[in-house]
Amino acid sequence: MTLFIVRRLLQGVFVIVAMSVVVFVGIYLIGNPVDILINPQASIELKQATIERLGLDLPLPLQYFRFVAGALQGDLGQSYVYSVSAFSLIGTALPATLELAFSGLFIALVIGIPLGMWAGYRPNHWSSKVIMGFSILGFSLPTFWVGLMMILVFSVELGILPSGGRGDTVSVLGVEFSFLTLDGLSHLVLPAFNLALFKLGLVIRLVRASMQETLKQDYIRFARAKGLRERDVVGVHAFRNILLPLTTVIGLEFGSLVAFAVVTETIFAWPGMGRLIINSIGVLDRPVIVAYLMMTAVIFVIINLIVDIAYSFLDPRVRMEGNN
Amino acid sequence: MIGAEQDDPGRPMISTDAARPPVLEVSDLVTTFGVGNRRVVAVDSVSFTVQRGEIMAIVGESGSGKSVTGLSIMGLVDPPGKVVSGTIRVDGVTLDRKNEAALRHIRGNKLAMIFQDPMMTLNPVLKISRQMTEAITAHDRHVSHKQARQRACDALALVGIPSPEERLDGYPHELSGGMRQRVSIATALLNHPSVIIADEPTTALDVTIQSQILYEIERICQTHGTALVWITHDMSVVANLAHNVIVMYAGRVVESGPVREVLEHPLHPYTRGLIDSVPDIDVRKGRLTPIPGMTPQLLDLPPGCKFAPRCPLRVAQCDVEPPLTTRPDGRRVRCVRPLDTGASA
Amino acid sequence: MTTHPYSPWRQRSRRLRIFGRRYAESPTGVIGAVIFGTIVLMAIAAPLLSPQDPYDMMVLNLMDSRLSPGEVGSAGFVHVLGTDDQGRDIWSMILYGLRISLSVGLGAGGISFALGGFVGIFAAYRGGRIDAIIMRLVDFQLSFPAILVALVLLAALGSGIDKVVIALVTVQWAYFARTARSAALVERQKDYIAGAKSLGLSESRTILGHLLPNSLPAIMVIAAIQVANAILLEATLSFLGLGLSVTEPSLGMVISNGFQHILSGRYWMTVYPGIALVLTVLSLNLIGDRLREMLDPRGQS
Repeated sequence: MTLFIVRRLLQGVFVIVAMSVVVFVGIYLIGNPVDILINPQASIELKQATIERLGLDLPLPLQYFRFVAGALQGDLGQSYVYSVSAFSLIGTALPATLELAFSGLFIALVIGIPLGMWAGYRPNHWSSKVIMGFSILGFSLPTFWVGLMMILVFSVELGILPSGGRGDTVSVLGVEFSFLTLDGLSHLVLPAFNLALFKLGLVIRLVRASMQETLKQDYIRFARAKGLRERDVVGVHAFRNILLPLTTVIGLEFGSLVAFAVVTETIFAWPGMGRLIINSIGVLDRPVIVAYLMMTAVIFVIINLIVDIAYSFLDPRVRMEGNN
Repeated sequence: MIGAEQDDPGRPMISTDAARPPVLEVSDLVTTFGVGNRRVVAVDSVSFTVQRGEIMAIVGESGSGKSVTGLSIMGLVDPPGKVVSGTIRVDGVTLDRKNEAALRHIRGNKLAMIFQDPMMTLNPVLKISRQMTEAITAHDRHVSHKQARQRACDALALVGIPSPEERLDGYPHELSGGMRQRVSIATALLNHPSVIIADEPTTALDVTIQSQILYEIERICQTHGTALVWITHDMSVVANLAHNVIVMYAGRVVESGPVREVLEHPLHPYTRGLIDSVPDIDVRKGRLTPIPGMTPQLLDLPPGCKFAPRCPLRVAQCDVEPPLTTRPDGRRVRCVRPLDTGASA
Repeated sequence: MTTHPYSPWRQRSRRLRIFGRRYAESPTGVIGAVIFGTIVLMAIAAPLLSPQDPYDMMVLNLMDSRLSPGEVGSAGFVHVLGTDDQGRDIWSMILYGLRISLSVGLGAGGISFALGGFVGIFAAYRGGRIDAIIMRLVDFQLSFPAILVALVLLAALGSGIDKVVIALVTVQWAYFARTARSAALVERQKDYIAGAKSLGLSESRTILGHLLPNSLPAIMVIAAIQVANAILLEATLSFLGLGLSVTEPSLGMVISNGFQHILSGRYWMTVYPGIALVLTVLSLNLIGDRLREMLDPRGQS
């Protein structure tokens, strides 16, 4: 088991290194931030001083080495715009995004799993057809537009929920969480639902298909033959089996959730990484862009690792193979 | 010839105690499959009785309706199948098909079932202990977890599984097919059922394991007085195991009676065909004699006797469906020219 | 041209009719097709159907700005869906915006279809190492969230309709490649390929003439859904301010312009363009779902 984890960690490290090269080269080759940051009519001395300050006059490989050396010390360069460490910028924004992404995932699962299970259990019932219809709608609705509609309905018309921002936060172990306060929660609700919508259709469809597959299996019949209550047949035997494909897909989709938070954060003015990256792209604040992409890569790797570990807990057959 | 082993004085007689009702009575069971107009009758008016401690075999080819019969008794027929009519009595109590709660109470309790494929009968992601104790707690909420586990452990030991304590905490994929089938049997026994319905439980196993399991089951049923309904397509298993046999064809009972008599003096041409097509290790025959033709499609049955198209003794009378007649000695046969009337092709 | 009973044209039109009839068996499929067809026609006929060309500076009048739906503007006609802050008629903006959204979505979808489809079929045909390399590439591409790739690409390339199409194609070709490869692999096993090979047909003829047409159905199925995704993605990118330039506003940009007015209750600038977008994407998804049902029937006993 430990060997398994170690191997996956090494793979992860490799991926991150590869990503760093790709990201760095890609970003540093695009455009010329000097033109953006400095008034073109500024004096040549000022331009030169800025170029030197930012290290843009060095050859690319050297810039990369500076980057790596810094990265290993937790320094990913200074934001061109804010003149603070890019890493700290991303680091401050990260918890907000993660909180949003986890909340969205949580909502999608809490709503999607029961609906999907029902739709798989009684596929011909009218309610199941309605559920499947809604799932198609879920794919078709643009998240950003739904977000706008939510603000329209809940903030403008009904006035019961705030239209943006994060609200009060509580600091736990140095990290700010907002769902622990009522005000923070009220700010979290709309964006979390908005983000959840994005994945809800997928979860429902996946759970339904899984459910239909699982219910055909012999062990379901045997469970009924034992005289188990239907709710145990479905809730224990079927449920434990649909968790397997669900976990794999969630793992893959969580990364996508984090990335897509960009949209939700923009609409609801949520102070997360997404909003930061949009602004940074606009001004070509390279260190921040790089920091964002690297952070995303790290998150991806960690999520994959967690999913693998979780999967081996859920499926005892996999545990055996991991030990060889 | 098969059945020679029947001269076994060790096999106890079944007690037909008039005071105690038969453990299972099936009357005119009808089960259909399909939607709307396209319905197929998979089980057509099947009736039989099983006494306490009796081993009853149901024999037929695939498609004969034997498995569906077992499932219908348990109430486990999935849509588009449906038990349309018939009465089932367990220990003298009539089962109400509409009362799901009552049926559930009987399942795994008085009536237990074992299935054919041991690979998937057990849920791969749950521990064996969980899958066994839940069968106990489903019927008796007051049993403590420890007691339930102990009972499960004892049951595993009973079916011959070594180190049962360790096996309990393991998972199905750690066991071989034969072992898994033993676990299924142990699970079926947990609540001391009156009848166990076994749907081809050894078909998917090696021949050597097969005889082991047969032996175990027989021993257990004898010790506990549990009745057994053994569904199979294999005549040789019938010979070695059962007291009585029912032969099914195209969803109907075509013959029934005590095993020895049916095997030595079959009445229905189909039964004779089944017996003849089993290769005998003792006697060298020139050729195997299979039954000519193919199993009928249930959608496409002839109006008269369903076996007529393949029957070597067929006559004009066979165009009318023969009724199931019960003879004075208790044997039943559905044929206008049973083999003991001196009929020949 | 004589109409020989087995002429290719006759055969194709016959097959199309059979296909059409089968497709029409599902009411949702028909609804999807009808809605989408109507939308496309309306977009093509935009100049005819809109009372105003919203991008003609001459026509606009700032006095008309922020009119709510139903009010009459200075040009004398009713602004059925209201106007935006520049005085542009929302209905006209929707029609013209649909043009852009549809052309970008269909264009990117079409290119991804061709590119990805060819790569996938080629990989399946060649097999071996080439197949492995291509699939590695495809998997690598697919492991990144679409929006992330598009964001980074547009950051690098700048704005403009061609760059948006490039970004969309980069994101989408992999889906087509993977599906095409699976379908082609199945086809490749079939006898008629061996037959073609034994006849000595050249590689390109085998691929183009045989493998391709028979793998097409599977690719068509995801084509509809991918176009829908392309339209959605483009709308999202435009909304975020990336991608298309201000002179080519798609529906996403129209909605984005209306964003700031939501808090003051001027909902029409975002609600109606959004509905148009939803209808477009929804109808495409219905079509795609119906196609998938036809190709891969499930739940049939």
